[in-house]
Amino acid sequence: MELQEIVESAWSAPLQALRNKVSIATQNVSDILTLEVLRTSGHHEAELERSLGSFAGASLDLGAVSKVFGKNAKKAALDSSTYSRVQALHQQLSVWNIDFESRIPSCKVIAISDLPGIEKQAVEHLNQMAECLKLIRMAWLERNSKYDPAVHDSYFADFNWEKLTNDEVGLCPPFVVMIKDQGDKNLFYSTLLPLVTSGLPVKVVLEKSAFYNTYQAFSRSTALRCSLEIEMLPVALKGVYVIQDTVARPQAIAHLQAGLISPRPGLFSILNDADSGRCDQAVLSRALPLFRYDPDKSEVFLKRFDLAENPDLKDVWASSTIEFLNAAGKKDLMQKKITFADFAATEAQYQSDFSDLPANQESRAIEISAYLELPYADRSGKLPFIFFRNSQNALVKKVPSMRIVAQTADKRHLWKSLCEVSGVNNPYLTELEKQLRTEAAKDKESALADLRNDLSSEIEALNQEAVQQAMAKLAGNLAGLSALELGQIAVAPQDKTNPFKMVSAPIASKIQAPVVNFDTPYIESKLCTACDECITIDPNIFAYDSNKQAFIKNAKGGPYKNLLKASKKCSAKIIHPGKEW
Amino acid sequence: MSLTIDDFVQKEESTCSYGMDDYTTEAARWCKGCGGHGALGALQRMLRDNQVHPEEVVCVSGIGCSSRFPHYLRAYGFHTLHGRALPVSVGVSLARPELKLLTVMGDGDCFSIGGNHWLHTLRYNINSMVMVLDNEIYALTKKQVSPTSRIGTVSNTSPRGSYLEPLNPLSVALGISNISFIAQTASWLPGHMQATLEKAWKHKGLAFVRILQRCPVFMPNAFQGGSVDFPGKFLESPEGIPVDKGILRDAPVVAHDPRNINAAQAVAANSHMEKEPLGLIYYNPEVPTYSDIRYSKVATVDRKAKAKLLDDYLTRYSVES
Ligand SMILES: Cc1ncc(C[n+]2csc(CCOP(=O)(O)OP(=O)(O)O)c2C)c(N)n1
Ligand code: SF4
Ligand code: SF4
Repeated sequence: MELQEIVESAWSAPLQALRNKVSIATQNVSDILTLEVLRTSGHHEAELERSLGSFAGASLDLGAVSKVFGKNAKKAALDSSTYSRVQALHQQLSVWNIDFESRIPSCKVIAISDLPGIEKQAVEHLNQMAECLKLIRMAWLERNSKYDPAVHDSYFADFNWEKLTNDEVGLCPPFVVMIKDQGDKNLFYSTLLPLVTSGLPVKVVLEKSAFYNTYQAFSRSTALRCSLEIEMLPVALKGVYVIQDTVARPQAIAHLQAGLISPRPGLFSILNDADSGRCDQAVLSRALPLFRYDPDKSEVFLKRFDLAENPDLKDVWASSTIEFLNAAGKKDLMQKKITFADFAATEAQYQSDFSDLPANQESRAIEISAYLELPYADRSGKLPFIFFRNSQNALVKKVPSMRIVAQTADKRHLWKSLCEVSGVNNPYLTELEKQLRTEAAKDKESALADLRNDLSSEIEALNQEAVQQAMAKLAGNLAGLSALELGQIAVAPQDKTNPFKMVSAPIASKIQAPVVNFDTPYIESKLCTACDECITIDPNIFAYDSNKQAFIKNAKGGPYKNLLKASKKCSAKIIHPGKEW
Repeated sequence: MSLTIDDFVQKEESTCSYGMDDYTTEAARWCKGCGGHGALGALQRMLRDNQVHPEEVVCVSGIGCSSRFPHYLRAYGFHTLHGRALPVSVGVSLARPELKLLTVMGDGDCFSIGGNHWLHTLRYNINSMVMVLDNEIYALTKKQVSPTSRIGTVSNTSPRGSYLEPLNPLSVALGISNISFIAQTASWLPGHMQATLEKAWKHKGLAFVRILQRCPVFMPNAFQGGSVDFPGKFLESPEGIPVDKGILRDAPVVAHDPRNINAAQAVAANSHMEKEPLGLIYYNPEVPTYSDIRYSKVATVDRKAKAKLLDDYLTRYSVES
């Protein structure tokens, strides 16, 4: 699928929902008009023929039917101004209904030079969508007879996209532009930034295909030339919805969809390559960290920034098992960390950046992932290398150029920063956790000792308790008390889940009797089945409340014997007649 | 969650607010003490709480005391023929899938004369809440045995007591393919009944709700008179119907997984025996509805190709002049 199609498919479900609403709104308004015609002239011969169809028209004498019905023709229900308002609304909606599809712009692929006119186009698009929503809203008001000219005429008169709420903006098919990433860092400043900061909810899709090399070939592994990293953009532009993903991942569509319906401006950096293996490697090697930044997801920055879909999230580099042929020509497996350098080694543009590790250099060779963990001072004299699977599927050691090392170091630096920014890793918390763990371990020891002591004294208490209970039962049997009464003999009840724990006070004292005055009559209305029994006995005493459940409207509305009778008859036994007055 | 176009329209709709009167036509003319009153009230409260538009509801019934429902519920209604409510509901659900459909029947209406329609409509899984008010008797016609009457029930048609064990509608329903929702409640438990109807209302598919119904006139002793002594047990599960014991004095609560058809069958088979299960017995919201299936086919029919086939077929029989 083309990236453009993917973006459009991400939007297709809400678009279809909007499309359906336009049809339903049109139908609703048309129903109002049809109903009015039927009401006023439905019994006229021509109208009868139209609604009954040719078959009935041929077999019935419609003239006669019309005469019989004619007498009952009703007056118009709508006044003339309402009728013409609904008619006008119907006309506008019908036009939308017919050309809905052509009014929704497709995702626009633009070149940098197209930029100046784009904002104007975006505003026009938004206003058109606002009109569509306005018509739907008016249709619903008409349908529910809630359109009030005094309120709504002026409100809808100058309705434009600025009157839409945030949520409603999210309902409009988005205005999407697509720009190819040419590795030009000016693109950010000249094209993307003005667009995403224009105050319009414009969505920009930045189509990535290559990874550009901006690193000089100095013999240093520190990158000095800094470029703006899209991954760090949320820190600077916290109100923009930003995503980075690849077309190879099925989840990308859902993320794009969420981004597209956000009322915010959006920037979606998408790696577009038909070779899904390359997309996956870019993600695995941290060349392209996946992330989503949703400005509205949470109050907390960390929760807005989501890195979770990256492999081996907690590690600096993700690991992968690779299959190769060993020296004996047999299949073998190796678990290794995939760094940016490993990815670069498979990219055509970096081929000249890798050379074979000379045999005499083995002693100072070190894998690049380990190399980059070393403090600078310890790196001198060491030669970083990667394991590379060559065309014969054998593993060979390759030495990357210094600029690849610099770029790998920079990707590592970026990844670690992202982990902190997104809360995956918080060095302060890690420290605190360590501290707390040590303290907790100490506390646990002393708590266990206490527990052992308590336990032995409780077992003792329990034994005494059992004796006491047996005595009580015996006494009860001798005195002829029932089991129920026996239960009331105050014996400290036990907590079943923990036989060692005694419930402190007898339960009876904890159960509070409902505060009811037994003298005044009342009904437990919540339990009333509305069976009509009491209401039929005396509608002056009993009535239904707003839940259609009985209550005592006036206890003295009838004789006391009616109260008594109802309470006896009530199948739910919820009428309490109180005391006779 | 972001706003959907339905919420957007809903916003306009929330300007109206419905009360009980909006779901009521007239005072119901059932006997006093009849469980129909409670069922109607619970339904009306549920509709009001959900602010359902009365004009979007269609209530279809058969014939019987219980089938007078559409007269009292302010909504569109069909009071159809004895036993034939469900075929009409199938038609309504296909013709107007966007409407909320409610089918109300009595035990005689549904399980006896309408038995075949009942079985097949369960299999169709049409999108309708189906309430059966089961008073274990033909009440409108003044007391004849129904399929759910207990053995020994003395009635006009069984003066020496009925001879057969009653039909168990819960077990039968569970044996039908595509079954998606079975619940049981009782007319003397207003809270539980309302919660059951709410769950059923929100189910997409056929929500079969059996409501045990008091009929103090012809079956005063059924269900212990629908009193505090009724032997019920509540089925509890996270996605089930909240337990609400109402007036019941002694009703245990048991854990039950309504997604497990074997567990549901065990519960259903035990009803009538000791304690009547109350709550959600079986639930599978994934079963497609009949209208979804039929509409999905309509959209994919290649009408042009079909027309051509027909044309070719007819041409075979044409006579050249
Ligand atoms: C075809 C036909 N046969 C018989 C009848 C007579 N009839 C009317 S209602 C009814 C039984 C109703 O019993 P049930 O469905 O349990 O409803 P209840 O009255 O108990 O609510 C019968 C047999 C009828 N109306 N139509
Ligand atoms: S008799 Fe009891 S259950 Fe019936 S309506 Fe009155 S209070 Fe409600
Ligand atoms: S006969 Fe029974 S079911 Fe019919 S209305 Fe009366 S109480 Fe209700």
